[in-house]
Amino acid sequence: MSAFLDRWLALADRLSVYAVRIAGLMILASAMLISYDVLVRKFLLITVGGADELAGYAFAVGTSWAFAFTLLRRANVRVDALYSRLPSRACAFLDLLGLVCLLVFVGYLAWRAALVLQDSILFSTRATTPLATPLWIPQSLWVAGFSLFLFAIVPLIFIVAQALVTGDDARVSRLAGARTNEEDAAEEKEQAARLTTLKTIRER
Amino acid sequence: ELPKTNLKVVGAWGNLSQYKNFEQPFWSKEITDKSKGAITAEITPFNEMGLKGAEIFRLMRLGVIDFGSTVLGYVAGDDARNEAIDLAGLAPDVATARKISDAYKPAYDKFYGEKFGVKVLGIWPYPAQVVFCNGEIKGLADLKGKKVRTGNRTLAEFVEALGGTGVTLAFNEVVPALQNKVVDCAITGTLSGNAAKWHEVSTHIYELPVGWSQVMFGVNQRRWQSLDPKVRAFLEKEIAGLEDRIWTAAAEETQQGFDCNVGKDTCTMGTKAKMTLVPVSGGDRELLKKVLSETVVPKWAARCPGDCMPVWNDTVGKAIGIEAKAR
Amino acid sequence: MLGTTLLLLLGLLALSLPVAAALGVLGLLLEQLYSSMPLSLAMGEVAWSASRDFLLVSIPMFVLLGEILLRSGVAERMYGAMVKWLSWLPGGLMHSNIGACAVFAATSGSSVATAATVGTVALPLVKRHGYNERLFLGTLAAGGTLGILIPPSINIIIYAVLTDTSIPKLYLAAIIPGLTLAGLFMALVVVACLVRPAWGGTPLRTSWGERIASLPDLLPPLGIFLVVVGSIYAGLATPTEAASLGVLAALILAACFRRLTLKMMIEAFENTMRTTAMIMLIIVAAYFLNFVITAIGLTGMITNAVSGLGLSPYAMLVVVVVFYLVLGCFMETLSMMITTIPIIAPVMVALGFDPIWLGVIIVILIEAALITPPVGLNLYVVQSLRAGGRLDDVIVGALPFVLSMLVMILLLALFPGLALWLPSLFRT
Ligand code: NA
Ligand code: NA
Repeated sequence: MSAFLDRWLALADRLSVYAVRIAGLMILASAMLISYDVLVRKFLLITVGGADELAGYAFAVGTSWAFAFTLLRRANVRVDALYSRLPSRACAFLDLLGLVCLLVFVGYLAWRAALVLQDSILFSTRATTPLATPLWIPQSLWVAGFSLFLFAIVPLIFIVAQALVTGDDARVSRLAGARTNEEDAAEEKEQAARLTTLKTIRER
Repeated sequence: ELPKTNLKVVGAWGNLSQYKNFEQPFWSKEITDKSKGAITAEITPFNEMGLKGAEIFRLMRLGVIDFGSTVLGYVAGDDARNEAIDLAGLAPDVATARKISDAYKPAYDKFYGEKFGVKVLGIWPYPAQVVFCNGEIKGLADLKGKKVRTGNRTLAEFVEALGGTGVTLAFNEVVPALQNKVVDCAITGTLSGNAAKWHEVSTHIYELPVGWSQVMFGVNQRRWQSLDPKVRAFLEKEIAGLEDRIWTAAAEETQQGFDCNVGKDTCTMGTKAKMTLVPVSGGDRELLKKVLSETVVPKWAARCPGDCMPVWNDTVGKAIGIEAKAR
Repeated sequence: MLGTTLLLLLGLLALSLPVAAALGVLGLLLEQLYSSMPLSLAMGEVAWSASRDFLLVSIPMFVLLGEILLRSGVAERMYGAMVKWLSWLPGGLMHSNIGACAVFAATSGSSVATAATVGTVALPLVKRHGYNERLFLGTLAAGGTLGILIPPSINIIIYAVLTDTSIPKLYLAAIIPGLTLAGLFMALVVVACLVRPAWGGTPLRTSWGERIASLPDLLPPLGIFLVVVGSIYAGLATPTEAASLGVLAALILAACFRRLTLKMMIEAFENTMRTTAMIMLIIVAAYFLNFVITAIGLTGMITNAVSGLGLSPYAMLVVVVVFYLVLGCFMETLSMMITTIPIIAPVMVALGFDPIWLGVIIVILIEAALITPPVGLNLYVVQSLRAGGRLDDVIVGALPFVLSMLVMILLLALFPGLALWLPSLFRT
């Protein structure tokens, strides 16, 4: 059972990485499309139009496709004023509680999002824009992102619960602990440092 | 004697006069006074709830909202019928707009009753939508080659039929866009353009109303049936009165918007500005009729299948003497 | 109802639930407790309209822009130039820190990125020149906060979306306060180093020739600023379009500096979307919560309660400042903005404050929150850049700059024109 869950989580992890990269690419593509729109509007006096609408869909879809990655990288913000002063056992309980609440909220959200999609199919809803995009297209991609999130959080909750029962608080923290301020800061630093070739400033 | 009843109402834009001077006082005070305290209501504008307006009737269908109102143009994506009474240029004056709305109301009641479980209680307009331009225009033909911010699809098609380009922009981005010539012209209500200071970034205002942004007010049918018949009769009568008052006010506010934007002394509801009012010439009326019957209505008819067109011809078409065919 | 809601919110947050889950679950609980209608059925519609708001689209654009710029190597060149121009002042490199933060702020939408980027370049120099380390660290933590006041700014965009105010006006309104605040930071360093000359380190000397020669290093940040802010006022683009142009410009810069690789772009994508998804999940939850509390009449109740206090506008302003200073100690800034602004801004505007001016005040208070302990992300960023030492050094070093921020708020209250003059020019 436990090996199965681990494989499941590993698969979710891999999918979430692909999804987040595609999501990033969608945002980059939106930026390029909007830039193109602006530049031809200014210099060639042609209005292409629709870039803002497409960027809006890319944003909604990209965001939902990144939810799973954000979950698995423990990047959902938590207020840790009290948490950081608690013993590891208590933290482990809160970590599991946090996951369950996320499941309740996003699970409900995913269900309602699916019903929005269902309505759009029922009414054949189209955007009220010149493109008149059938909304089921962006909305089904949007709902797919929520599904990926659920696909990732379910094995995560089982594994964390298992670790909690067996008293493996370190594992709970590794999988679901709140990122400490130190962790966040260390990452910012690592990014800044890795990419900076420091030219020393000479003293006279 | 009416039984004690409490109602929850979602109003339209809370920052506009229609809500502040009519919807809000009507629900939070008038009906309570007139029912001698039996009926109370709480009203909230949809924008204060973080909604955009396009979801109101869907939420009424789900029972999340009992009484609700939104601009029909916002829900046009769910069904093209929602554009039926506000096609660009359809009603060049307030009397025609009212005639059209009243003629089509039964069609909305039937459609919303069947598809959304919503009963239609009233339809009323905002002050007329007109064209503001930063730069001189003399008439409709001058929209050719201009970039025009439009609020909905039929207005965009109207502008394009005249040789201009329809641009979509958030309302609060219009002022910088007009100032910087990202757009040449933009369409909004005469008085709301004044309130949003469009007169500071545009020079000409064209007198022809191109749209009315009608709001439809309705109620979830299950909730309606659960009310005492006497309460229903009372509400229907009072809402009809509200509807009349809003129509009258829309005509006044449309005129106030023109007066304020050109700086007439009769301006009391806005800021006096120095815009130039461009009158509608006889030639423009001809051009309008041509664009309407050759482009705007046929394009809309093409996306409104089924019994949509026959019903429209029977109601709106009869009222104003146009017969439409899908192209 | 108000008390219960506050207790539930504080309880859920204290349990360290993910903020988005806490807000969402609170919305569901409030519906159960106080609503006769199935409000939560609206969650999908509310989420869909929030998720494709064109103004919010600029958030991933700015994050991506920052991620690319960070990897392009413009920061250290720019810092070198600031050293040559500013280090003659009493306090030497500490002025370069603040100046470099102000310049980098003009390209970056985030404070943390500003502090991290400038800090990485500057910190190795603290020991070598014998500065008072605490004050030096303070200039980095506080200087970094300028990232959200000097436009472009993600936090200003969020304020604009929450209050339906104009981003171009807010950007213009924030420029003079941003530069003034940088000046106040510098003044604080000058005063400190005049009182205690030993804190100022060994002076650096630079010739005019070197200064002139360093000017080209300021061109890349200036270029990005012109693209992401200037293009709005040049009539070229709306704020979101400007952010997109910024991404394009950053890509071109990175290519010019030969830093544009596939690996680098993938890292940038992952970080951008992780941050964006985190922000958007909170925004969606907050929109839903806002829908519920408005529908059950809580918002109206709060507004009535506050106006019932009968406070004068300026007394209310003091209350708001104290409220944000206290809350800012314990809460992460983004969640703080999203949960408080929809309630506080309407109250303040009803009291007669200009919403644009108020936006500047709130952003300065958010800056303060970034450097007040225990929850102050910029403190941790700067600490992590050091080779060792205690966090207390950064905290103590940054605290005086909170005073500069309060002075700035006082100045804005006395002279609202500091914020409102530029937007007024723009309008007519
Ligand atoms: Na900035
Ligand atoms: Na803080």
